Formats: sequence, structure tokens, C-alpha cells
Amino acid sequence: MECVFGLVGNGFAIVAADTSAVHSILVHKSNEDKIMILDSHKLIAASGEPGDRVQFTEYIQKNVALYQFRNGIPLTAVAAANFTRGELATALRKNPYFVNILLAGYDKETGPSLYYIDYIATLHKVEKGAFGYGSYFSLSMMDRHFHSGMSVEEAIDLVDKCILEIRSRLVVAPPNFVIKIVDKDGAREYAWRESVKEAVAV
Amino acid sequence: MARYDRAITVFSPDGHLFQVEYALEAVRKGNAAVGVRGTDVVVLGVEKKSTAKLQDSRTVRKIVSLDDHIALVCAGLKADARVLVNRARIECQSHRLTVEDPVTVEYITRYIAGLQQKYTQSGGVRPFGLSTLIVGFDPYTGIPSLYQTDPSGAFSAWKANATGRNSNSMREFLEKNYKETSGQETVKLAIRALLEVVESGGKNIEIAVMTKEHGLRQLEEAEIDAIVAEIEAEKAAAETAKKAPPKET
Repeated sequence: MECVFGLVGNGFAIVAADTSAVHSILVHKSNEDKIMILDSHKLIAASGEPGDRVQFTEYIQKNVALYQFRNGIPLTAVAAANFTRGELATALRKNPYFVNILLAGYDKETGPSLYYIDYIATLHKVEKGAFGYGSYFSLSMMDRHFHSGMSVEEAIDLVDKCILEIRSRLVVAPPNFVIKIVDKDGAREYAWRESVKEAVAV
Repeated sequence: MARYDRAITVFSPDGHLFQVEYALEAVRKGNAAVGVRGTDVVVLGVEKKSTAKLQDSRTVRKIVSLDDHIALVCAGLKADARVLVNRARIECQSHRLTVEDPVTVEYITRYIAGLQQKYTQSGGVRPFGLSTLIVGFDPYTGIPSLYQTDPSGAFSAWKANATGRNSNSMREFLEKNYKETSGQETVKLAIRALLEVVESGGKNIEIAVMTKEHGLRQLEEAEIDAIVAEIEAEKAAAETAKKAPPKET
């Protein structure tokens, strides 16, 4: 089952997602990147129906880019989160998207933020959040070890603790994870945590 | 003639669409705009009519970007421009969404020209009263391009072109003085063409330079003033050089 979780630290927000693309009992690939870089200072970590995930996040990404061209300035994280929620809400009673999203952003004025947006258009601004079966374990670990204003090293340590917990306690635990960070210098990939290397043709 | 110029969808007996030609007149009344293609940059320049004292000049941007690698300047009805630019920006993102590739300059020019043409063949609408100069880099080959569209919906690629007020004089100047340039030389050529028809000075000219690496960059007034000063100095030096030989004979 897909695991996505994230937290806010001192001047940054970090999200981690598993990288398995699964169909019934088959693992298509174990290096699928589910964290999209929305724009220079925003990340969307998405989990759920694979087709909906790509379709919806790409749609949001292009609309965020259009806003920037039209208005000359980028959307704030809270505005992007509300826009995303709005699109989910509009589609909900007709043609719902089965996508759960953690939106991590950094604004110069307000600093880092994390938004929990689930597939039925719930929106919460949170310090830590998680989706999927993995959330039972990662939320518990974060409840125990999280404190406000963690440093990057402390946050990565906590992320690793969550990944370890998921790997050891979840029956169909995904082998690999990707971690991405967003801070004043922008949104970027931080690291991969791989326990199974995807076979690559030599 | 008076009977054939009211509706857009009516040809005149000698094959004219008068509304389209009148739209071209509107373009000729618009502010002067110039575009020059270099080997590694494309430069857009436009005349800035003196801003009213109480007006916030930052809200009057004439050179707009359609995407990270495409920019546009137009001459003619500014309100029509807003509509066209908005549709073009949506198309740029829509193209990226459906084919996961940025548009080429030719594609977006064809799209804008297609829109302009549509409004010359519909009932109850009038043509867009503007011509555009569209510049950009091909997203994969990195080759710079300059295109022009007009109210009839025709478009073509150019090495350098001008539109708007006194565009004929600017075009003549460009035809005489164009050569393959790069970087600052291309910027100078564009400014020299504009200075043929516009009052000299940084506050009467808006210049933007697009490069493959850094996208669109609007030049500051001070930068433009500096280049204008350089151009005037070069002109003065050429004048004195011309005057000197007769004295020797």
C-alpha cells in the first residue's frame, strides 16, 4: 500500500513517499517518483489511483504555472492548497479523483507549510501528516519524536525512523522511498532510501 | 466602397476584406515595436509613450512572456492584446499538459495567427486590431526564432522586423544595417532601429532580451540609457570621421 508522509521543520518542509507502482500482486516498478515539484518552492506528494494521481497533479501544476505567467508572481502555498482542494471538491460529486495529497511549500513571508488534502477534499494545515496504511506507523513515530522547529538532520532522522517502522511492521511494505525537501532555496530531491535496486539494462 | 466595409464576412468586388485592412490601420497607429534575432539572443523593443505622472508604470508592461522560453510584443489595440496573450498562455500550458513538451515558437505563432484568422471569418465579430512579434528558443534545438503575425492571420519568420508606428522606416533601417550578431550587438541593433523613430532616452524605450539560459530579462532604464549613450557616441564619431577627409584635400 502506498505510504506518503511529511513534516515541517525549522525553515523547511520535508515529504517522503514510497516508490512502488503496484497493480494487484505485480510490482510494475520500484522507482516511481510520486512527489511532483509543483513550482520552484512547492512539492506535491500524492498517493492513490495511479492514473488519477498523474492526471490531477499535472493539471494542478500547469494551472499553477499559468497563474504565474498571468500575474507575474507565483501562488502562495496556502493559495495553491486551496486551489487544489477546490478542484477536488468540484469533481467530487461528479467524477471524483482518488488522490490523497500532501502539499509542502515555502513562502518568503510565512516560511514553510504543509497541507493535508485528502481525496474527498478535506484541507488541513498541519505540522506533520501521513496517508495510507503506513500512516498508522509513521504518525505514531512522529507523535513520539516530532517537536516544533526540528533541524534538517533531526527531521531526516525521524523520516528514517518512520521508514524503518513501515518496513518492519507493514506486511506489504514498499522497499524504496524518495525524500524531497523545500526551503528558501527551493524544492528539490533530498535522497532515496532503497533496499531493492530497480534492475537497469546494462 | 462604403457598402463593402461594414461586415467582416463580405468581400469587396476587387477582393479586399476592408475590416481586416482597417485593422491593419489600427496597427499602424500603435506604438513602434521591433524584434531582432541574433545567434544566441533575441531582442524585443517597444516605444514607451511618456507615462502620465499619476500612472504606475509598472502595471503597463508591453513585453510579456507567454512561457519560460517565449515572449511577445504587440502593436495596436492593447485590450485585444490582453485577450490574445491570455489565450496563448493557456495554450502553452495546455500543450505542456497534453504532450509533455513545451511549445515551439512556430507552434504558438501558428496558434495565435489561427485565432486572429478565425475572427476574420465569423459573423458578428471584428478582427483583433494588433500585430504581434513573437520570439523564443526552440526547446530542444536551442535555435532562436522571431515571428510576426497580423490581423489577417498571416504569419512568417523574420531575421528582424518592426511593426506599429513608422514601421516602414525601422524596417528600412534594419534591411540596410542587419547582419548576424550576438549578445550586446543584437541589443544595440534593436535600440538603433527604435531610435530612428522614437525620442532618445531610457524612459521612452522598453527593451527585453531573451537568452536560452536565463529566459526573458527586461533591461533597466539605466542600462538602456547607457547603451543609448554608446550609440550616440558611435554616431558622433562616425560623423566626425565623415567630416575629416574633405579638410585634408
